Order: sequence, then structure tokens, then C-alpha cells
Amino acid sequence: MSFAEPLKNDLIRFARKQSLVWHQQNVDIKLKFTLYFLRTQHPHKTLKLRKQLKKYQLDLELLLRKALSSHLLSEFIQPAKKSYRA
Amino acid sequence: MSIFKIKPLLSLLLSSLLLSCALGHGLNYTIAATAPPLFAKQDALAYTINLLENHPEIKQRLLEPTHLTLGEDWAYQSQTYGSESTMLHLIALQIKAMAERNAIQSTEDVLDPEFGIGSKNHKDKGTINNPLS
Repeated sequence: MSFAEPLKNDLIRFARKQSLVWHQQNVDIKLKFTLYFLRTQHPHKTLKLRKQLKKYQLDLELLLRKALSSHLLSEFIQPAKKSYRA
Repeated sequence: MSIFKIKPLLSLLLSSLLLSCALGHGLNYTIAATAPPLFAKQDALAYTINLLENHPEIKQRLLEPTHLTLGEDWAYQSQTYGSESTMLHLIALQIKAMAERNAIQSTEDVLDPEFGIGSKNHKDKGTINNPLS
């Protein structure tokens, strides 16, 4: 099971609904907006995810930054695995 | 001029505007030379625009929440893209990233019915051709 499973659909929906201008901003700004979205719209799920990540010494901000930079949500969800056709 | 003649023109105009807008922002959609031959050095945005122009049924599915494809009983619902420009941008960047990881070799991979654009996996998991996501 992936760490972000409880929030995955919400994050995909959030990203797909943003404008092109939003996506063209730098990663720092997008990260702030994404964290604000999680804190205000999904506070309980976010807290739960943070606790889960802490057990593995992982940081939500760092993972979100990686996802926003890579454009591959799978990098965020399954950082250690590659596509089956790779 | 009939609506049927205007629609492709408008679509072309939108695509051109999006391309110039992206270039204006210095975004790099160029796929690395190390990607599979079909994608190497290609502009991922131009490839995506062309791909979806040739597959209007997929484009419709990605943009219209309740659109049902023939023979399927599910739609993208709330997972549709908010606008065509966002859709093209995000899909282009995914194609670029997956091609550079050598995770896609062909257009068939991009349109794979199980893991490609327009599939249930893409709707729910957000990735192209990646069953591990």
C-alpha cells in the first residue's frame, strides 16, 4: 500500500482543476498552495499521513516537492519502483 | 462559414496559443535524446496536441465529467481536467517524463486501454502506463 493512498485522489483532482498559469508557477509557490489545500480541505487525512510518514522518517513537504518537480505522481507514491515496461 | 469548419480552426488557434504561451514561460517540453526513437528530441506538448486531435473521443472523456465511452460504464467524473490547456500541459509533461524513463516506447503504450490515457488507471491513479502507481 502506498503512503499517500488516502489523499491520492484528492491530490490528483486538485492538480487537474488548477489553471495552466497555476501549473507554470515555480515549485515553491505550488507547494505552499498544495499544503494549504491539504490543511484546509483534508486536515484529518493529512495529519494521519504525516504520522505514517514520520514512522519511516519521511517528510510530507519533501515528497510533495518531489512529486511537483517530477510530474509523476508515481514518484511520490512509489519512490523505489519503476514502471513495469521500463 | 459553418460551425464544422470553424471548430478545427479554433482548436488549431488554441493549440498555437498554448504553445506560444508555454514557450513564453520558458517551459521545456523537449524530450531527451536518450528516450525511445519515437519520442527522442520531440516536443511533448506538440505530440500531445496532435495525439488528442487524432483521438477526439479520449479528449472528450478527459474533459467531460459524465462522458461515457462506447462499451464502458464509467466516466472520469470529478477526475476530469479543469481546462484543455491544463490537460495538455500535464499529459505532455507525463509523456516526457515516462519517455525519458524508457517506460513508454510507442503511441500504443500511451493509449494502452488498461494503463494509458483515458483508462481507469489513468483516471484514478494519475499516471500513464504505470500499474505500480
